[in-house]
Amino acid sequence: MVAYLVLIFGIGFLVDFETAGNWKYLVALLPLLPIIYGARAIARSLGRSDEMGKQIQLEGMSAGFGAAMLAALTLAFLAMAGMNSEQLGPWLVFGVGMTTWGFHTIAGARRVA
Amino acid sequence: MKNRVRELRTAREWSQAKFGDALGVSRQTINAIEKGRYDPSLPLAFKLAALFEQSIEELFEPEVASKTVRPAAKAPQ
Repeated sequence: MVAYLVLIFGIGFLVDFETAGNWKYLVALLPLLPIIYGARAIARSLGRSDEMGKQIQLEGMSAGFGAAMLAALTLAFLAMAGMNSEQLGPWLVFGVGMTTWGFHTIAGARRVA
Repeated sequence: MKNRVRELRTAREWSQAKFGDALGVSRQTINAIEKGRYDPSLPLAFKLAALFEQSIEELFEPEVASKTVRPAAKAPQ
């Protein structure tokens, strides 16, 4: 996990994205590989869960999806009004979605415990 | 939903884990059903009833609705 975080934040120091050629896009997408592996693991875990586990997970995911959509719409409307959120926007949507997913899933698990 | 799952399970001296294995669900699901914090799906309810050799109505007690359901008025003849 630490190595992954170093990779994500260190790529900006290893590659000069201002001057590099088109290969920089491939390098920028490298951190996605472990995330795709993680998404497959989550899907497999969901498939192995029983009905209550699936319900808790899916409710958490739907809450995370809704929160992410709301965040994206908020940024879109703010952009219409002239606010520049090019750097922060995608990370904000991701953060809001993931945080909501996590908290909603934990709350769901505690509700039935 | 109130139910008699815990009463019937303990009468047979089954652990929650063993009971869950027999039904294909986790111990946590059994615990949540017994505490009334999770209502099982229809297939699971049928499995529970079959395991205890009782009907679903004998196992589960639906919560009383706040509004009484009135039967539809008969058309005048």
